[in-house]
Amino acid sequence: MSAPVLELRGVTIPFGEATGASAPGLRDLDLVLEEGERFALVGASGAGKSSLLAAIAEPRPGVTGSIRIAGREFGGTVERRHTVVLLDQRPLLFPHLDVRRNVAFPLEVRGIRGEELDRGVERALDVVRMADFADRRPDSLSGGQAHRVALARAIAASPALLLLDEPFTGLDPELRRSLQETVREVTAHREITTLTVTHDVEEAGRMADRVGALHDGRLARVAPPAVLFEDPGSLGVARLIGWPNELPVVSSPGEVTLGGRALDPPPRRGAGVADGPAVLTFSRHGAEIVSEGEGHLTIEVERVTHAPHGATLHWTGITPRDPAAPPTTSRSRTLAPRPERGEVAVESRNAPQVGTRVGLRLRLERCRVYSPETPER
Amino acid sequence: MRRRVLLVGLAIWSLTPLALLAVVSVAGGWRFPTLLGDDPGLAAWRSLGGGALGHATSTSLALGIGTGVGAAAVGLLAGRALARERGGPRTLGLIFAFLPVATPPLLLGIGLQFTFLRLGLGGTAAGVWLAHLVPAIGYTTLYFVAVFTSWDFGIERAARQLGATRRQTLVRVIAPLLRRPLAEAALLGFLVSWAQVPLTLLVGQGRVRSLTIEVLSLVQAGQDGLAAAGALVLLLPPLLLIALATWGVREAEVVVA
Repeated sequence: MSAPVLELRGVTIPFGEATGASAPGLRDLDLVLEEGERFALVGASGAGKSSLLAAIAEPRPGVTGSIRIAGREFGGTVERRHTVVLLDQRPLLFPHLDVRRNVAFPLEVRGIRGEELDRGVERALDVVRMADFADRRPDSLSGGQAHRVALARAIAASPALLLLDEPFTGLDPELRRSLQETVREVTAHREITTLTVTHDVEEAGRMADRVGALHDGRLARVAPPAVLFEDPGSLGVARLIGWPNELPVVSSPGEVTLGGRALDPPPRRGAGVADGPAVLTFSRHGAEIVSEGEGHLTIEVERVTHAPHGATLHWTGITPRDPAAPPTTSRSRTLAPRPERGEVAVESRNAPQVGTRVGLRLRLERCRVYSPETPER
Repeated sequence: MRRRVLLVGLAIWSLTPLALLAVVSVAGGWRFPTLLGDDPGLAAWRSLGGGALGHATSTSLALGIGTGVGAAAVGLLAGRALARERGGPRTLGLIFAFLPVATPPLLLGIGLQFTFLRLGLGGTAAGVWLAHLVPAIGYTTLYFVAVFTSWDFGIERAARQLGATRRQTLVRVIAPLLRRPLAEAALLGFLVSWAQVPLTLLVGQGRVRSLTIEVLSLVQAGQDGLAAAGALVLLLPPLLLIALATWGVREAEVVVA
C-alpha cells in the first residue's frame, strides 16, 4: 500500500507570522490525504487556510508538527518542488512568456526538452481547452483563460499534490463553475490529489469528496460534503456553513424543549451536548412557514430577499420564550444563540408580506442541537 | 489655439539654447555686428574626435558606464530589500537613499575629497567613479524601491513552486522582467555621472578630465566653438533617455489599450 500523499500530524501555525504574534492560528492539525483524493478546507476569512497551504508548499518559520508529502518529511522548498504545486487566487502567469512557454516552464526547469516537452505542453493545453491560445501573451487573455493556462501549467508539472488557494475568487459565477468542473475533471483524469481552501462552502461541495471545517483554530469536522452539510457537528461549524437560525432550547435526557414544550420527535443532539441550555440550529431549509398560531413558534416577517435559487424570508422575534434557555446576547467564549432572528427559504410567490406574523414549523429531522460552549483553548 | 501657442512657446523656450549652441559650434568666430557668426564650418566638430575633447569623451563614457552598471546593480539589491521592509527600517532606508540625492554635490565632493585623499584615491579615475556612485546609487535605489513596491513577488513564488531553483527563477523569470528597469536605472546612473562637475573636480583634482570638466575649461578659455560642440555631445545621452521614456510611454499605452 502506498504512503498517503499528504500527512499532517500536530501541525501548529502561529497566527500572523508577519506580525510576530505568538498566539496560535491553527493548532494540532491532523489530516491525511490519500492518492487521488479531492479535499476542501473551509474556514472563515483569517482562519489560517492560506497559511496552511503556504506551510505545505514551502517551509515557514514558526510552523511546528510533521508535514509528510508522499511519505517524506521535506526540509526545504527545493526538496518539495516537483511534488507540490500551489495554484494561487491569481493566475500568476509569467508576463514575458507566451502561453506555450508558460506551460512549458515546469518541464523546462526539470531539463525536459524536445518532443517530450512539446507533448507535455500540448497535452496540458488540450485538457484545459486552451490549445488554440498557445501563442498568445498573458496580457491578451481574459481572466478565465488566464486561470485555465495557470491550471495547465500546474498539471504539466505532474504534481503529486495540487494545492488550490481560493482558486477562482472574483470570477463571475458561470466561469467559476466551469473552472471548478475543469479542475475536477483534470485532477480526476490524472489522479492528482487536491487540497482546496475556500470560504465558499458551495465551492467546497463542488470540488471535493471530503470537506474539513476549520473553526477556532482547529479542524473541527471532516466529512463528505453531504454529511457535513446535513450535520455540521457543532454550532461553530453550523455557522461556518451558513446555517442562519438558532433557537435557545433546553436539553435533557431523551428530550429537547423549546419554550417549555417538548419537541417531538426530539431533534438529533450533537456529541458532548450536556443537559441544560443548548442551541437548536437549522439551515434555511430546516423549517417552513405556516399560518400564525400553527407550527412551533410565531415569527414576524422582517423582509424577503430574492435570489435565483429561491426567496429567503428574514424573520425576527420568537414566542414563546423559555426562561431556562441561554440568553440571546452577543458572542463570547460561549456561543450564545444569535438575537431572535433568522432566515427561512420560501417560494417567491408564497412569500408573506413584510410585517405580518406567521407560524414557523420546524423540520425537526433537519434540526440539530449543539452545545453553546466553544472548545477550550 | 491657446494650447498650441503654449506648446510652441515651450518648444522655443527649450530649443533656443540648444539651437544657439549648435550655431556657435559651427561658427568660426562671432564679432559684432554679425548675427550668426563668421566663417561657419565644422572645424570644432572635426577636432572633437582627437585631442583633449576626444580623450575627455572616452573618460566620461567609461565613468558613466561604470557608474551606470554599478549603481543599477547596487540600487537593484538595495531597492528590492527596502521595498520588502515595513515601518521604521523602510523609512530609515529611504532617508539614507534620499540623502545623497538631496545633498548638493559640492558638499558631497568636499566631504569625499578628504577621505579619498587619505585612501590614495584622490585624483584617480577610481576615486571619481566611487564618488559618482554615491549620488547615483541614491537615485537608482529610490527608482528600484518604486519598481519593487509594485512588483508581484507572487510571480517568483509561482516559479519556485513550479520547480525552479533560485538560479532558474533569477535567470528565467526575474532577469527578463527586470531587463527594462535595469536598463533605465543604468542610464540614470550614467547620466548622473555624465553631467557631474563638482564631484569630478574635487575628487579628480583636475587630473581626471571628463567631458564636462573639459567643456568648462574651454568656456573659461574662450574657445566657444569647441565648447559648444562638446556641450552638444553632452546632450546626446539625455536625448537617448527622452527617446527611451517616450517609447516606454507608448508601449504602456499599447498594453493598456
